Amino acid sequence: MIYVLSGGTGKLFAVIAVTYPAGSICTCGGKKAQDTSGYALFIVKAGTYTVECHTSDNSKSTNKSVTVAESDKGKSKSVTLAYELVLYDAGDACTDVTGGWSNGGDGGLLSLGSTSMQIESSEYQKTTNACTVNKIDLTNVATLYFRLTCSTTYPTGYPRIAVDADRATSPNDGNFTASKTLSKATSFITVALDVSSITGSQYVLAATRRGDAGGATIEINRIWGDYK
Amino acid sequence: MTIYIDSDFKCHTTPGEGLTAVETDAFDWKCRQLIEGYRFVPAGQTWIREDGEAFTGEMIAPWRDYAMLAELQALYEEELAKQADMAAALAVLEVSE
Repeated sequence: MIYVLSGGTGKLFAVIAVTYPAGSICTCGGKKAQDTSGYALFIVKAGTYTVECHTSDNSKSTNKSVTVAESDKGKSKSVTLAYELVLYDAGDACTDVTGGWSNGGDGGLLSLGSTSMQIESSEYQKTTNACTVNKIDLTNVATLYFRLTCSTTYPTGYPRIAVDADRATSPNDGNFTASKTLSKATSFITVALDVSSITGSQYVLAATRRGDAGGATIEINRIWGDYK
Repeated sequence: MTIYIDSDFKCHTTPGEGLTAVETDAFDWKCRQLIEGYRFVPAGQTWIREDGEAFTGEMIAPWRDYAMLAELQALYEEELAKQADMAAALAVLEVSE
């Protein structure tokens, strides 16, 4: 669907192409998209526009500001709106954001499966983790969620979820930028970590380490963040 | 080390009325300003953020801007390194403190 906006201070015309969560209500400069397909084109003059979308019950919303310059005439600007920052989803490593997932520790096993990934601290006094290859910008993220199972309760195997500036930090103490210890869960549960005061970029990881009491196995099928 | 948490799970480095002592190695070698910019939710307890989101312990997370806390910690580590250099130099000169 294409919408022509009369706002803006400039002359003619550029296109703002918006991708947003299907089923949501999308607006650009106050003009509402007439469907909820998840994709809309707005033809605009030079100016600054707020592109926004929200769920029909207003439980979630997000927006971005887009500036169209006179020099953008005839061009298209793409905007993607999302309620979540997805970092791993049932086998999808979300490589465009994460750079992939790898073991930043010094031993053990990371298995990247078709629907989940699993870490096992199989080597004594070695750290095993599933860690993003890229640092992730958490400036606008309030909460990180991990959907996982865990074979032990901390401190056995020292299972943790965390964010940190280092990919190799051992999980046997709390020396991360932010972290949460895990408890035994034989079926998938969602665990939350508060990152609302973290600005800038950090690695996102789940970690375990085999100690005298044994190791741990953590299976993860989704990792995502809620925007502020 | 021992830290002290208030009813909002914010950390303090000295005891006080209404504060609960907690033993943790999470803040070893961290400066006072960084520790006091963190929240520590002990295992078995739950902190409810102002937006209603619930976080169960044990969770350790900053409540002050982390970029500022990291900068303070870097300055602290720089000072520690200077002091170590000075101590080493005095040891070479066989000067006792």
